Amino acid sequence: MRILLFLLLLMMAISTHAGPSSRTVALRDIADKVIAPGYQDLAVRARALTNAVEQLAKAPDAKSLQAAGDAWSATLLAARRLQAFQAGPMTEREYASSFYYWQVLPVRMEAVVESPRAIDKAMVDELGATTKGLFALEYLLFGRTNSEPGADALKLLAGSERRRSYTLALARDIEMKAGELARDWERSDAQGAKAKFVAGGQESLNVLVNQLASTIESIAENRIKFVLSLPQPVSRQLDRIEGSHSGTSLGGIVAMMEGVRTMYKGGDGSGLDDAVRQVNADLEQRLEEKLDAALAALVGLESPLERAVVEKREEVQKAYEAVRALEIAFKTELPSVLGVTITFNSGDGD
Amino acid sequence: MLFGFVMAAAMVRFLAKGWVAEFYTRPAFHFPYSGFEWVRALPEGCMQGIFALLALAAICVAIGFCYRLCITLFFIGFTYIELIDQTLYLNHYYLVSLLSGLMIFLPANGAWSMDALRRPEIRSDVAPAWTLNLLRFQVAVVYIFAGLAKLNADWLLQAQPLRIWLAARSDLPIVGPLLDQTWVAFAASWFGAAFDLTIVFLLLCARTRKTAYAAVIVFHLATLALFNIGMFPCIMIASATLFFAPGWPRRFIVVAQTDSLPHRRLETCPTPKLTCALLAIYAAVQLALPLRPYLQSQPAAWTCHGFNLAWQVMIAEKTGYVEFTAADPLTNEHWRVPLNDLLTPRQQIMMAQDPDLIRAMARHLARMYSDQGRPVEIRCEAFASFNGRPAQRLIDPTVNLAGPLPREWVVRVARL
Repeated sequence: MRILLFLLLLMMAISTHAGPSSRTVALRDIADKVIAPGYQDLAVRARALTNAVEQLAKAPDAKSLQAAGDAWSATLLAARRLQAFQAGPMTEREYASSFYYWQVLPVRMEAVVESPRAIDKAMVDELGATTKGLFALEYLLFGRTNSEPGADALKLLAGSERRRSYTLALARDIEMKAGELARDWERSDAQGAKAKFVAGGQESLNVLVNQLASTIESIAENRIKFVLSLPQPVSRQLDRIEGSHSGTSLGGIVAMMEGVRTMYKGGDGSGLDDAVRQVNADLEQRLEEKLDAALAALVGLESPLERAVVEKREEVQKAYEAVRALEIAFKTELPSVLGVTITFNSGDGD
Repeated sequence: MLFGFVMAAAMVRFLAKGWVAEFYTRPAFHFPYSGFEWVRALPEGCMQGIFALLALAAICVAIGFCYRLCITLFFIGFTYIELIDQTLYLNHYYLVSLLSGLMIFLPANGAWSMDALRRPEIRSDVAPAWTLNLLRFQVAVVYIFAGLAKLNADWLLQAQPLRIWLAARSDLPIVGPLLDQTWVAFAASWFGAAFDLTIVFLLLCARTRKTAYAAVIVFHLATLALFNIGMFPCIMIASATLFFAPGWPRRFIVVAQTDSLPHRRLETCPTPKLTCALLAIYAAVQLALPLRPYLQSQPAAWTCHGFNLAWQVMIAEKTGYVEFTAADPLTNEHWRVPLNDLLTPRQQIMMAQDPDLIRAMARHLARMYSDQGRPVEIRCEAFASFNGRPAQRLIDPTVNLAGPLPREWVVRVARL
């Protein structure tokens, strides 16, 4: 009994000396250095978007429309960099569709423009995902004309004050939501998103790893492979390619992959890579190489996806294979080495 | 008694966690065992009723009420639920089936039971030695083969999979940071192997029994705290008492009235020849089944051939991923087959690790399409990571899993 007590005390002493586990540090740094600053950046971009749309609403011309479009693109990319992790406030507040749902319905949006109802916050709150959010703004700012993107958008905006009000109301809605999310992740109390994320321990890790894997799968299958499988000519299928009207089809997925990478590495702090390296350094090396290869293959496409699939089809195929290899690694090796499979599973094991 | 109470708690736990619906009635498809395809899940109400009856039967076993009937019903009912779906296989469920099956033939209600109270003719303060030795043999087989399974390079030289599993619990208070340390994983691996291989002998030896049982309790409580292994630790802590000297409870519990009643005393007599023969056959089967993995050229944890029923306990961390593609040989059309409507997330996780279950799924998909008048070939992209190895293909992607299989349809695993 004395020996057991001694061993227990010795273990506690060693444990105290060992400090917090690499996973706890990783979760803390991912929250502090990646997620929270990411939402801050999104809030800043959303604010800049509202400012640009206000200018457009006051004086609609090519310059103000260009500025609003650029601000929109910057906001979208900031949102894409966070798309790999949507747990916490984004899910609790049910804001994900406002930032990521892209299949808006122009018919319904035009009905909103034509409707006599006053465009205010109450009205925007009642709108569904097909008529509001970032991609509803894309429709209003970039239009749907394939030959001259934006031409009809400027004409329509200039000709309708109600349309400009609608655009501004949607921008303000995005700004409000981005601000709320940023404040949620800035809270330092025990009920704040950051504290809950870190306190979640293995559970948070499970969710994070699964969502990272799911994001990579989405890039590989729903974006790149989907575009590769579209019938020719692709120019007639632009409505089926996310971000094609704003020219962000490639930029968006590059930002998503950058988000995956940053979350995996914990920004300039500790990340999942450190937790993996603790258990299997060779595996961490392989994962990093695959991440770098996938990102490089995507960045190397340079043109928007709808053009790259026509002009550089082989390179798009190689980019798919690189992302696919990363997808397999994130679905097998990464969960396995972090014990995600065995813990993120109902039922007993032995 | 301990077995009955532990199993009653296990059945209530199943019901309380909602696992009856999640595992048995919600899935649209089950993976039956070969030869047991006729075993099907019943509607939810019936399954809930079965689990409730099993809990009741277990309590009756514990208190020795209509013991023979209840243990038989428990054995049949529990084995039935285990045969429904291979993805639910657990070593300790297999052990429960074996123990409950053996207990049908044992006079476990001869003393300290309601039956003995009601029927004086069955009372006895002794039982044939083979009844105790049979149960000891069964539990010993579990420990020793579990220990032998740990004598491999992954476990001893790489401390896998404990390096992964212990690090996954590094958020535990006090001991958490220790579990992140590699040396702890190595120490736990070597201790675990030594424990499994020696504990039976230490329990059998009177001099070391007390310390050994203390180690059993500490070891299994630690596994209960660290790993998600359900009732396994409780079952092993209870079954370790089989190695105590017979009649050990009488040293601790004074039973007033029944002890003063007349008992039937058995004359010393040899075990009947038929009993000996049956015991020998049973022992031979129980020794042969766990030897199957050692006849494979690939680790059984990778191929899953000979892995179940072999006491390969907690020796593999394996994560798989599989996608099925159907191909129409006439039109050359091929398409990906989604599984979310057919399998639960848990079934998909378990299937993705097991080539035989992947094949069973492929054959089921082929049958489905064939029933719609569209014969197809089914291939898969299957990858797995095993004990920290790089993810690699599990199954040859060119093989039509719905047809005859070539010899090497399971890809060989790379060395660590």
